[in-house]
Amino acid sequence: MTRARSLDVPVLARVEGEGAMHVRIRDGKVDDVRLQIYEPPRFFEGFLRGRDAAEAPDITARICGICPVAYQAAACNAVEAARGETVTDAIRAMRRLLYCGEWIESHALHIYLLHAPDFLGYPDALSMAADHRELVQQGLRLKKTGNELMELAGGRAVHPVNIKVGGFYRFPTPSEMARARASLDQAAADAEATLRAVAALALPDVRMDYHFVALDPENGDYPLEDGRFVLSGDGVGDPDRFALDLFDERVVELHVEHSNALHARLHGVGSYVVGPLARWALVGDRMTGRAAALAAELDVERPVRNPFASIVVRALEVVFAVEEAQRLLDTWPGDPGPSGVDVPRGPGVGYGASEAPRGLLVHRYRLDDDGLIRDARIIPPTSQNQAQIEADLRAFVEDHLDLDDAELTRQCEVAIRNYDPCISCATHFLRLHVDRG
Amino acid sequence: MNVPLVVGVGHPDRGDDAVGLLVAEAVGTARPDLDVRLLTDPLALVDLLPVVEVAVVVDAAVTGSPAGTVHVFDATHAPLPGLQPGGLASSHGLSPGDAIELARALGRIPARLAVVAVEIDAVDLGQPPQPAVVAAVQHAVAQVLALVDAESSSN
Repeated sequence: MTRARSLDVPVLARVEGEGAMHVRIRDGKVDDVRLQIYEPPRFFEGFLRGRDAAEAPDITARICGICPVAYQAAACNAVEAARGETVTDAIRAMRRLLYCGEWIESHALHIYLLHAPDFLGYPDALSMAADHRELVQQGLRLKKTGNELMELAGGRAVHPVNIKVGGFYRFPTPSEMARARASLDQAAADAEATLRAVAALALPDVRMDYHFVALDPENGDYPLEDGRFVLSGDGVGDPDRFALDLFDERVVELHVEHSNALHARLHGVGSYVVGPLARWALVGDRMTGRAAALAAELDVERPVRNPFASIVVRALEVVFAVEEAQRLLDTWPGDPGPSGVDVPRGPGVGYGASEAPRGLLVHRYRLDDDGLIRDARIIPPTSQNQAQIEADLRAFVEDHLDLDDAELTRQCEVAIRNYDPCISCATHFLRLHVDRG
Repeated sequence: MNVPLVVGVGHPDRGDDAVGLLVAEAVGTARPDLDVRLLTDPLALVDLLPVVEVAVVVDAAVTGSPAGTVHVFDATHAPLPGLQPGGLASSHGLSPGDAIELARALGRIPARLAVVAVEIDAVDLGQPPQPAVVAAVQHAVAQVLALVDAESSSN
């Protein structure tokens, strides 16, 4: 007799976008795991064809309301690479400041409103807020600070309008920067308190063998707004390092029947992880200052192989991003030069990448003689993480078959939220179904 | 009493969904003495609501009534009708109702909070609001001002 169970979540909660999950168990073995991304395809790559390359940052920003800066930065990087242009140090610093705002805003939102309720025993953030007012207010203050940085550098917090190919329409004034700098001291205290709080959470004890992929900026910075090289490894041995321009040769995207988002596979490896765990594993030694000190004090292992501990690394990255924003504002040059460089129209093929809050984002454009986009490829982080999310779920369910369906289903949803998946970005993903037969 | 707050919520380029913004703009024109804000991120309500005593939030609604119908809800002590439990399911879909409930959980609800909602039924990208919805703007403005003035005169 076959003993079978099925677990279903028709609409996954507290993830960005719409998706479902189905798990089928037969005779004590996980027979099938499907992360179903049913949010319709959004055809952004098609929209880009025939459009002026200068429009790419504003068009692709609309892929996501949570991480538009990731798309804008990657688009700018790709067009500038296609035309062989580079930007000034000041422009790069302002892009990094804008990106710090997005990391703070997005990470704070995920930690406090989407993920923390899982570990504090609440069904949702509203229930949690009633018992943990100060904690949630701390998170909202952080999110607000992130928004303010995005408004400072990007003109507005959602879908910023001040960034363009070649730089910015204008740099913020010294007084605007001074006002933003003043709010970062409270944010630094809130970020540290957040890290201490999540590091004390009781997390499920899971160990996975991961292969990580993250950007490797040539200047040795912790990866954020740019990078021309990619690191790939297990976080223990020396990583493989390859040029971003070889991404198409190293990463294959596959269509799977149950998902409207393509699955990415790393050549010779298979599924892999991008995002906070990957950045921390591969280049965590590049964190400096308070972030590095707190990671040591709180004994944050490196690499982190427990996917449920991603909330800790995410909080560590908030500490880093606040400190980095302080540094960028404190070292802003008296004479930053022009806010943009000229990027003449013309042909070329260019790759651009950035580290979205949830992981590596890659754009590739082919431009014609008139500077129009003839072909575009966009590889968002959730597409890259999908196969590993399914692998995590398979491993987690096989190790926790003793749990009843309701608890197993709940913990599977938490396991998905470990990745802060952005389904809306990836379709360009959650219902959970566990089938035990 | 501090200056009453009127907050319009909506999207300017999604057909009828712009109505909350249109009503708030019209309130601002008619009554410069009021603190009028336009929001595209409803979560900002959590920061705006606790600093005032009277607040009116204006938004679009779908209840099944004819387009242009103006609804008035008292949200001072209870959630908006029809609000699904387990809010904040996705930050992409955060509603003003979710934000108001988060503010309530945090003890940030003003002494009087009302929601004026205009019934809509078309949110096509890049389209203007339907005539029936535009025609309801002045009635909604009158409802907002009646709420604000009633509360002011009672203080």
